[in-house]
Amino acid sequence: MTESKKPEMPPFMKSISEALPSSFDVLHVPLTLDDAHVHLLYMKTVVDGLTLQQSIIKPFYELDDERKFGAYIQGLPNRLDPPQPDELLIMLTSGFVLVYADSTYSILEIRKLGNTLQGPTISETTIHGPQLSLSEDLETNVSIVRQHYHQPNLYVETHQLNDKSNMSIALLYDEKEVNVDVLRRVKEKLDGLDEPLIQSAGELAVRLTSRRFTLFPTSILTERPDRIVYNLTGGKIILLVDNSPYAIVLPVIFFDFMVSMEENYHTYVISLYNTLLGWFGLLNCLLLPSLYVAFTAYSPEVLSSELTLTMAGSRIGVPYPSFIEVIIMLFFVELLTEASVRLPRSINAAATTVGGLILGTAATEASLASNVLIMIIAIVAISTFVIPMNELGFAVRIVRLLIILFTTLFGLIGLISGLLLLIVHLTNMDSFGEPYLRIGWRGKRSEKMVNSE
Amino acid sequence: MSRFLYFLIFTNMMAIITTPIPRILLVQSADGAIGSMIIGTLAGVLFTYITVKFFAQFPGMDLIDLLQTYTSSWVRIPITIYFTIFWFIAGLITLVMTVFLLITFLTPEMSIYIITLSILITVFFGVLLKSKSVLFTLEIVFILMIPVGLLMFFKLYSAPEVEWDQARLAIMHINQVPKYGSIVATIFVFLGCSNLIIFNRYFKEKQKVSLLSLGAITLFGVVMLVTSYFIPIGLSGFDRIGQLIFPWTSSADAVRMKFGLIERVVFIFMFIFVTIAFVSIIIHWHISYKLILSIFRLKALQVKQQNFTPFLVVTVFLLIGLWITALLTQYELYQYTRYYYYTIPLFIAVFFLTMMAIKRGASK
Amino acid sequence: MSSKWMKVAVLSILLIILTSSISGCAYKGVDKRAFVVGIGVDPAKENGNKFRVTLKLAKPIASLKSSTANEYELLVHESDSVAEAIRFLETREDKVMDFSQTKILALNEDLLSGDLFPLMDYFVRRGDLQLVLYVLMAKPTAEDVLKAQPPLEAAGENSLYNYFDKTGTESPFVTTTFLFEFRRDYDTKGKSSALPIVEANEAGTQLTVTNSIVLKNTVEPYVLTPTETKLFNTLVDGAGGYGYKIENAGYKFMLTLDHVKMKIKIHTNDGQKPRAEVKIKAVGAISESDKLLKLKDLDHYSKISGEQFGEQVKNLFVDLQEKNVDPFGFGLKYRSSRLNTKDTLDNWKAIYPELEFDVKMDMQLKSVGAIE
Repeated sequence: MTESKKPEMPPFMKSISEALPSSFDVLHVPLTLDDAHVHLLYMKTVVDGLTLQQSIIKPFYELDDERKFGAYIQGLPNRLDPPQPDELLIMLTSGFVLVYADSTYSILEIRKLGNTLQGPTISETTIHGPQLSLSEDLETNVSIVRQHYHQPNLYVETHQLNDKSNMSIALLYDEKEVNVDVLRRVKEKLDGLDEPLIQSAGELAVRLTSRRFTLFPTSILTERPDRIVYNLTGGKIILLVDNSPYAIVLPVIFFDFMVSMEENYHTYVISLYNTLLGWFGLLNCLLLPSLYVAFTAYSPEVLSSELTLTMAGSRIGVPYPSFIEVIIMLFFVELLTEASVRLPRSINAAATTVGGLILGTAATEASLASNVLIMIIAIVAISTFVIPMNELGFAVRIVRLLIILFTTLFGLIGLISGLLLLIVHLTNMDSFGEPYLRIGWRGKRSEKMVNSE
Repeated sequence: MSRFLYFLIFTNMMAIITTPIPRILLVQSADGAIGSMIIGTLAGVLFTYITVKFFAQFPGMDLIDLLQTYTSSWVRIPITIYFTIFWFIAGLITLVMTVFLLITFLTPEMSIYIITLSILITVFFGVLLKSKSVLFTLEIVFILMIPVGLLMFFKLYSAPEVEWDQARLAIMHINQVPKYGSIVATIFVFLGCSNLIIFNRYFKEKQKVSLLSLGAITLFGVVMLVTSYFIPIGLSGFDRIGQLIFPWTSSADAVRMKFGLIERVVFIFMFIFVTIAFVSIIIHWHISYKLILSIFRLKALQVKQQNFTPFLVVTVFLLIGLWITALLTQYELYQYTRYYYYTIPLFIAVFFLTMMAIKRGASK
Repeated sequence: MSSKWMKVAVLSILLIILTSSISGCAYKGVDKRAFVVGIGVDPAKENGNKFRVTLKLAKPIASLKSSTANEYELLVHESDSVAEAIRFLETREDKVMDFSQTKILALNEDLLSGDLFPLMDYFVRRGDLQLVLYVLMAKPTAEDVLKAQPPLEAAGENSLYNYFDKTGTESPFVTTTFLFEFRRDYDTKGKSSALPIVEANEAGTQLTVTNSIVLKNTVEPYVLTPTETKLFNTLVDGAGGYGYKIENAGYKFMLTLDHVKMKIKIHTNDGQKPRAEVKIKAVGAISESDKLLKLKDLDHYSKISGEQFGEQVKNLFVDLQEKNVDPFGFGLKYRSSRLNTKDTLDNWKAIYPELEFDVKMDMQLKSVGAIE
């Protein structure tokens, strides 16, 4: 195809083409066979070349007639009428092809699909549930949800963010169950977003909350298709973001974070036991360090005398007050946890084990921490991972420091006070207009409770 | 009835442990306390019935709305101020008593200001909550306390340490003339439903007062009275019970858990009652705060879109609380509290008169 | 938004003020406290003082596994009142004395006659002392009892506790009296309190708890014999055990009782002598006999041992009645079973010396042991 043979570009397409930057992947392809002239304008890097070849170029040469080809293009399922130029430009950058055939413009979606592979679940693993998480492609994800949830009520609305990424997002909800107020609020929030760049579901979730300085997440990020469907049936709204393997679940209440999908795949008693374990873990990691401070510094009389003497014995020689001891050791464990996330998988187990064991033993040998505390810190570290949702785990790790502060200042009564302050804070919060901490009162499926009161 | 109404009523009943009510009753144990409790219970249940019935006629409206809609402002303002003070003092009594309790049993070395502050920090945020969130907080705390509460009741009523002959001996003093002081103190136990004056706003569905719900309220009230009256007698003996300053806590220390991490169960009990006391203070002061804001909002504190009057009001509450706590002695606390309870019939009269005024206004 | 900022600002200012102002006001680390595990009170040896107070302090042990014995420190001081003595003793320790874990209050025999209120006042008035501490009478002196260290006592353990808290030995000879119980029974009109007597041997290596003493402010203390102590504990606490000797109708038994229940009713009908109806139900087995026993005669054995047991109980009641003490609480029963009037107490004072005991025994022996 030489420059001389190239036929004149139709005027509209020309104006579009001029608006596009002269980057290497912007292609204008004129197809010519006898009298038939067809023009294609697209971006090579986002368009699936094979499909283009199969569904446009090849039929053109086979049909051998501009009118027939025009009709063929008109009949394609992925064809749209061209919108306004501004919008058209965005569409071109996301994988649409502008076709000029038989004196009509059509726009065809021949996108090169992103990563459609479903990886194994990473952050919310279960033993009995589905093992695959979402993929990184929006359409694949929508189809995954559709395949899990065969209901005509499932509405999928697509949106485009108005930031630089122009990412497509999909809003999924069950039309029969959804709370209309919440839906309206979510849409307003989405339209009102004023961020230069949003790249992932997590970021979007953060931008959707109105409070900047909140510790507790007001939406769930999940990678599990079964959790999405479970929440859809509960009347929640799911936001899927292109290029992100996570979905956002809105609105949430506090108890949603304590539900592990595993619980749905067991008998009642076992799942009840697991739920209780989760709660016990939450309480442990929130309260144990503070209780240690309270009992060693303010109120040893509460414990039985043998236990008190044991604690007093184990603290012999520790050269600083117990709250400093607790904070040092907690900080150390936090470092270990963070390190194990950052390190490559093959060595993180070794690093944390070595770090934990050696430092723990050495700290007690050197009388820099009491034996009892080392045990408590270990229990706390393990308990953090019993909390089903990671996001809550992070929040709890920070809140626990505040409770330690309160306990250090006021003793046991400070512990009660701090705990109540936490409850007060949580009940004061809301997730898209729904109260954050309240009891749903409809049995186990607390996640389903959205539209009461 | 809405479950939140039960929570309100039950919390008020449980909070009596951290008020001087048990002592007021126990001091008169040989002097007509039982008869007084029976009369007080009947009067209290009747009050609950009338109040709930009344507010059921105006679903979704609180007293502020009702007064503004149906009465003139010269009725509205004095009544609101009276109720503000009444509720504020109710919270204050719980606060002072809780601080005294803590300083005697938990942290004798700690400064009274520090203990009060540790309570007031949380109360500050609690009072400023939306009324709805106060209800949710109440519910969560209540639910959290249920397992501990069950343990407590089980422990108390199965404890071999409780000598039931002493309780029987107390019952044998039923033939004394009931005394005014004990009767009004008992009525206070049942005043929880009057919190509806603010919270009725959130009870949009019509409340039905069934015999069953009245029965449940009576039962819970009686159980709390029995627990706060007979358990101390059973543990500390009838003859000298009046000498104890904190009869309930001092007596509950006698119950022990042989194989528990915490051998002295009294600390578990204190945990429950201090928590309930927190919530009770928050509820009382929240109502007081809502009432005062309905008649008083300073324009001078308007900064941009935020009016700082609520912060001012609650800060004043806290300062008064701190000041009174530091000021009062134990004797004064009991004395003044007794006077406060003496005014309960006046309160009930004002309450009913207000109701009648509103009804008349509504029927016009 | 600004309300949020306001809250954050208020909270942080408060916290900053607090941290700087209190730092360590009531903050006393557990390692800076000396835990008092026992208090002993004896009459003073020197003239001019009233009490000799002994405090037993536990020394925390860093590694329980590697240490073999307990270490305690005993502090002794004489003074006019218990409070003063303790205040003086507090200056002898570099650590804060913590009374919240005190479990033993040992009182010397000589202190127990007369009114105990002045002595007990301090222990009850202190809010931080447990009400579930064990009160006992110490022989020969409280100091000796606190000092005694039985060889079997392991590190981190206090053998005196084990006698009383029923997680260790459960002997029917041991009366357990908590502080609250002691005070309650002492204060209640119509009941007397009983204390265990703990005796230390001269070498300080052994403690014996076999007797009890019955106290009331108005009368002389009365020491129960071991047999009486056993009967008393059996009936009051329902504590069973070995060694109830029965000699009747030519048989000699030793009984083991599983559980014993006692119900008291006081009848004061007009024209009749006041009568206490005591129903006792006991379930047990024969553990020792001097003759061959037949299984089919079990009912007969039950009957004869019941008769004898009832007799023993009745003798105990009469003995106590003669001494005008009432650890079983007949008076309380009387008061709690009729409407109170002004005269109830006076009536009882007149009735008790004349009270007749009508013991109805229901002995159920379930077996004769492993052999006939």
